[in-house]
Amino acid sequence: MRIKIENLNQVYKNGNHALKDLNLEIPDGMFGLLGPNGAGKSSLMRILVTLMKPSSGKITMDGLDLFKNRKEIRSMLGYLPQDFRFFASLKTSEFLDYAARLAGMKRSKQRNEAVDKMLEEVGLFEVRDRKANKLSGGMKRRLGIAQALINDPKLIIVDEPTTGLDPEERIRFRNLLSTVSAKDATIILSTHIVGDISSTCENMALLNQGQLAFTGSPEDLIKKAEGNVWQIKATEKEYLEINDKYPVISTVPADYGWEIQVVAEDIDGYYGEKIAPNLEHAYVHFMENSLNQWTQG
Amino acid sequence: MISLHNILTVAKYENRTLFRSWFFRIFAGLALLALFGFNIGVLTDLGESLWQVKAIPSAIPYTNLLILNLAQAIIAVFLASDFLKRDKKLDTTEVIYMRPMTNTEYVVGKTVGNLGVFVALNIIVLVMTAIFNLIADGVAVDWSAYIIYLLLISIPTLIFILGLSFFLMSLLRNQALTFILLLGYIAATIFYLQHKFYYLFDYMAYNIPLFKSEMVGFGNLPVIVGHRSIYLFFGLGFIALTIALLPRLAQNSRLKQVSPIIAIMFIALGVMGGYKHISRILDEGAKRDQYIELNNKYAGKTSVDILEHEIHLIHKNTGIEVTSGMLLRANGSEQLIFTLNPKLVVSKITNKGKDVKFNREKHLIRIDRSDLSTPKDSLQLEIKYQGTIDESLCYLDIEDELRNSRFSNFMYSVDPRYAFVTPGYALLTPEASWYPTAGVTFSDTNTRWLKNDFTKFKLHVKTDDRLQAISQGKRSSVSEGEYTFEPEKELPQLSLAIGAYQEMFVEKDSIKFSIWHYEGHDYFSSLLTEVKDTIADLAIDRLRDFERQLNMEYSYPRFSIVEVPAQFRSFARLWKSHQEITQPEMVFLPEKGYNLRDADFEGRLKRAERYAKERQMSEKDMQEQVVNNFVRNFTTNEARPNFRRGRGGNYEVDEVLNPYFQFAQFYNFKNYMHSDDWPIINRVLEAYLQSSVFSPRSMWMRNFSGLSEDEKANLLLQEKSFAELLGDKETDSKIIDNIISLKGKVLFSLIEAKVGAEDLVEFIKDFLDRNRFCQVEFSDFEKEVKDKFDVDLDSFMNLWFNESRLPAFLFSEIETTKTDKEDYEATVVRFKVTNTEDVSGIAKVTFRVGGGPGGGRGRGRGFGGGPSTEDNIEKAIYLEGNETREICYVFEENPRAMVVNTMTSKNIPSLIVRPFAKIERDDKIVAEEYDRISDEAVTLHEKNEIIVDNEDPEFRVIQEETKSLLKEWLLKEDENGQKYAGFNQWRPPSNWKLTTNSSFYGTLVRSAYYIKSGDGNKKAQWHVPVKESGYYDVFYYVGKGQSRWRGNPKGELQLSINHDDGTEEQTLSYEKAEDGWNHLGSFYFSPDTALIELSNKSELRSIVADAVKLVKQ
Repeated sequence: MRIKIENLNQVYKNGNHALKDLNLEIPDGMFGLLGPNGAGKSSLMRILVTLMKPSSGKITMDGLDLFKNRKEIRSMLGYLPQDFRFFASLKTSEFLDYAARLAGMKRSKQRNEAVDKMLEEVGLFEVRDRKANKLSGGMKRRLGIAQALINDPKLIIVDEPTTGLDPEERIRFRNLLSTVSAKDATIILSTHIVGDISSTCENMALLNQGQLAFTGSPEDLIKKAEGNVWQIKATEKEYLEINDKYPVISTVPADYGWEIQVVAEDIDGYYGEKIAPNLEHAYVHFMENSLNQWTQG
Repeated sequence: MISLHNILTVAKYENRTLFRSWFFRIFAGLALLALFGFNIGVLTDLGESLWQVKAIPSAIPYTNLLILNLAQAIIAVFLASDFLKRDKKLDTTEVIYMRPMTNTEYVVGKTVGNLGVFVALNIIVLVMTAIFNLIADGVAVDWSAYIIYLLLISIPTLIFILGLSFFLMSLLRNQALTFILLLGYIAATIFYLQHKFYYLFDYMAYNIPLFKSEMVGFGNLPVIVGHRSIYLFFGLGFIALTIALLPRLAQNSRLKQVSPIIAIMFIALGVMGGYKHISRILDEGAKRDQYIELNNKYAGKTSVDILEHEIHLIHKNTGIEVTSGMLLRANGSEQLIFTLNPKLVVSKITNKGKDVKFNREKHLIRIDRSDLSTPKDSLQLEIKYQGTIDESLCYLDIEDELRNSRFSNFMYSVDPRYAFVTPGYALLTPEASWYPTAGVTFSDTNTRWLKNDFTKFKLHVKTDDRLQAISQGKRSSVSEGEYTFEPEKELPQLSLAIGAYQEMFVEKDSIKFSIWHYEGHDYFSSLLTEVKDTIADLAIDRLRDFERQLNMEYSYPRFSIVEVPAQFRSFARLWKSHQEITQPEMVFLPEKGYNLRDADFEGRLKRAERYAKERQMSEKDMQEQVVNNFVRNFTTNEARPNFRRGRGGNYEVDEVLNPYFQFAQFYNFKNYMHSDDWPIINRVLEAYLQSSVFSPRSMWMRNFSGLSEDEKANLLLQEKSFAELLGDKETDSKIIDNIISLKGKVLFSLIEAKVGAEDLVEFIKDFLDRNRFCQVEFSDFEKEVKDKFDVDLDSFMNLWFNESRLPAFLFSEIETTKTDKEDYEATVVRFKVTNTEDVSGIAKVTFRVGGGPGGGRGRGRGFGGGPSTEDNIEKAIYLEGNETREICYVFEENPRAMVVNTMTSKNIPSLIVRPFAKIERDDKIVAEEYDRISDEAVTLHEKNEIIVDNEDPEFRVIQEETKSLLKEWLLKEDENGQKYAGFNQWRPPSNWKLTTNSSFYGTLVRSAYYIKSGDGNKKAQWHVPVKESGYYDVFYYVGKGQSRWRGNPKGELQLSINHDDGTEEQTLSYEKAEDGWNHLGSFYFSPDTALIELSNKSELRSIVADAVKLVKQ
């Protein structure tokens, strides 16, 4: 599914722009949406899942106008909000059945099979009769993605899906999304965890202050940071100076003091070497240099 | 466009979520438990049978659903207002809202889900109720009622409250605020609005009459359906508004515009329904006003006597078709005026076969004498008419407020009806004006309409073959469905009941006793097997007892108890004591006597069985007792008192007149005393004749109420004259009977005082016998009284009717001695009485003799106020204004007590009981009766005595008001606003309360303050106005009458006496104290220093502060 966003604006009553003249095309496959808090990611997501009406602009999905064809578009959607929970009194399978029914699965036999299959896929079949308050955080998140995936939606939108998950669950989750994206579905993954995007998304966009800051592949973003990521060996005193001067990506204690990764064009005489950037470095570099996000101490 | 699949999906999981919520489960469990207990209590042998519910099968599901509905209407608010919050709180809204469904599907699904849960609970309750219903002995099952009440009570209530909750929650987006508003609304409907505004706000159907009769079904189904539709439409409107307000982007923009339109449409329908509901009642009120206005125009404008009246009535599916033939005597009137129900359309009037021009305006038919071809006094009119009954014509004299008041029994309401004309049933009484009557039925501008034609009736009825007709007179069946009724005597009125009746009868002493019950309503035969053969004896014995008690005769050859629909309502009237349920020769009993505890033969027999062993009663004895108790309902003028519990826990009691009292059979249907000058005279005579049926209940009931109804009447008579009270619509309708009765006693006691009770009774009996079955003028009665007794009533009447001043009586101490009189030892009772006011008055004294039969001079029997059984001797004392009389009575046997009834006077209590202890012998006393004027007025204290009573300004109570506002609200002790409270032995007040009792000290008002005993912080003080220094004996008054029934309680009174030498603490043992003045000691007092104080510290349950006396040595 191809999604085309044109001149999208979302203005709150107080005049603040959540989204400002946003133009973006989202191709098939997994698409990452990156940006700091307040960048407008959630607003965009809520608009895409028809929970919110933008102030102006146009969105089409495979040529269908989002605002004129809500029924059709909703029937193609799967959505996992950031803080997903479900009715404590409903069992795992019941909630999934509820979602499946609303997703348009009318025949009970077909629906039951789909529910069981989905529970198998997300590893919840064993707890199908367990109520919500008895599920772990990871299980709940898996149930969330299960309800988003039920009835094979063409567009799946997931908001901060791995936040709070342990590494094992996070990897499992990423793999699940990758598997789904292979089934001719578009997945929009909104996150502030850069690793989620680097490991799964073919394309991405970076939002800041309601505007599109970057769109392209993660590799394109990484390229922009090449030559600007340093690994410095610093004493305790130097560490404190560096921390004030540059955006520090990571700090590792060493025999001589600290091994620090920073994003900078030059490191002004400190002892260090350039290293190959990853997406996280690229994100910080982009935010630091292109948008002057960081303030110098 | 709307997906049922989506609605059902949302509903299914909403339903499941609610079912699994503990809040709902606990509520449902408690509701089921409570109703289980209710049904056990009401329908099984384990509880106390509740006849109001058991008698009427539909009342079983009705009451169950009313109880459930009250609870579920509140619980639904909690669950429904969770509507948005629950989804939002659990953050599930977004994953649901982004699904392909419309807002309508979502909201409707939620509603259906919520509704489904409650409907399921209702069904469970109904199934449980049905099981109880099936296993209960002798109780039928009305299956249709189970479904109808679910639809009428629960569904509209739930849809309304769910819709309102959803709407408010959507609008306010604040659950706490929504709760407060909704619970406030519910509380207002339950505690304040109730049945006000004609049940308009009764969304729970808690007050609106939904009673379903087994005989006629619902009383007014269109009104009921209309009322319930109001809430159904409002509920649907609110649901549609919720759809419009749902914070979710509409799936279909066109549908989004539709929902507000639908909401407006439903709400408009609700508003229209409400308007229709109110306007129906207001229109009826307006129509009644028009009827009265028309009556006012023609009241007294005609004088026609209907001598004979032959009615041919055909009962049809659409109404009745009647030919009424009347033989009339038109007493010189220029216009003949008849009243006939306005929905009975007159097609033709003829006089001796020739057509007569007539004018029909609403309910009146007017014929000009000049249009009659034979303008003679004797006319033969025939009126043909057909139609049905407009019940708004009924009870024009009854204020709309009372007429529209809730007609309830136990916890359910009954739709009042005043006549029935349906294809399967008809009930017509004179109130329905189903046959033409001369003149108008009521006017509020003059009383010239009051008259009573005694007419020779003949009635022919044709109805469906399967139906029976019941009316007055000898009944003969011409063929199936055709009946003729020929009353042997002239009657003032005729009634007719047609229905699927069955008759059971017995005959004895030429009287036929019938019970006309509805098909399938013979619930008693199988219970009263042992008395089957003796029931006629029981009935005739009771009738003869009643005749003896009244000193009047029953004049008809039959008496029937006719079962009528429970909706049939009648009212007590100002000008007659009997209600429409009493008709000549018959009484109408509502379905299975559902409102009569004694009609519950099974329950009564079970109750009797509990006491049978200790009383050695056989099965037959028990059944006889039960039958006698049932029959007693027709011979007792007071119904069981109505106990109410006030907010402070105090019991209050209302004297309730018994509507089934059959006195009218002995007087009203035989005699009528007419007077244009004193139109109330017939009612007064009736009240006087009735008062021979003495109820001892009123003696103890005043202890609950603080004042008897007679005393309340007296207080009113102190402010207004009899004439003013009769004409004042504000006069309490419960008291008006007492006012009339008191005035009756006063009027006839005037004659009694001159000629003695016995002669008066015989005279009245003879007068009434001579004037049976016809109207007699009061002037004729006055003339005969004058001729026979030389008593000029005419000169007294104006004063009696228009005077608002009342006499006040001071009675001296009563001296009783024994002395010889001829060949026996006589008891001599001497006393003096002063009328302290300048208006004349009458008091009655009754001596309780007791101890079996025996002669006694002046023995009274028959009519006349207060106790008048054969063991009592009555005397009337007439006093001119400011007159004192010395009186001496001589008795052959020992009187036990003297009861003074001051009737209309300023005395409170109006009944003063003076028991006689041991009577000493004194041979110096001459046993000679006298009643003579004395120059020396009665004084209650000697010259050297100073008495301070609690009514005096020198008395005061001291108490700290320590109650919190909440406590004051919750434990409000005195809510009736009257000056004198009842005396509550079990729960005395925590603050001083003023109460009255004949054992207390007092001049005109025998009152005292009383309080619960405590720690001594509440006191009563008497500041005795001593004028002269010196030694005084101090006495304290202890009246023991109010505590006599519970023996002589142990405890003490703590008194302190402030005198010149200090303060003397005194303890007076209540147990040992004399009934009256008790000496506390002698003390020296200077002027204005004497202070006697009583504290509430005591082991007694209550302390009474009454009077103190200082006697100068």
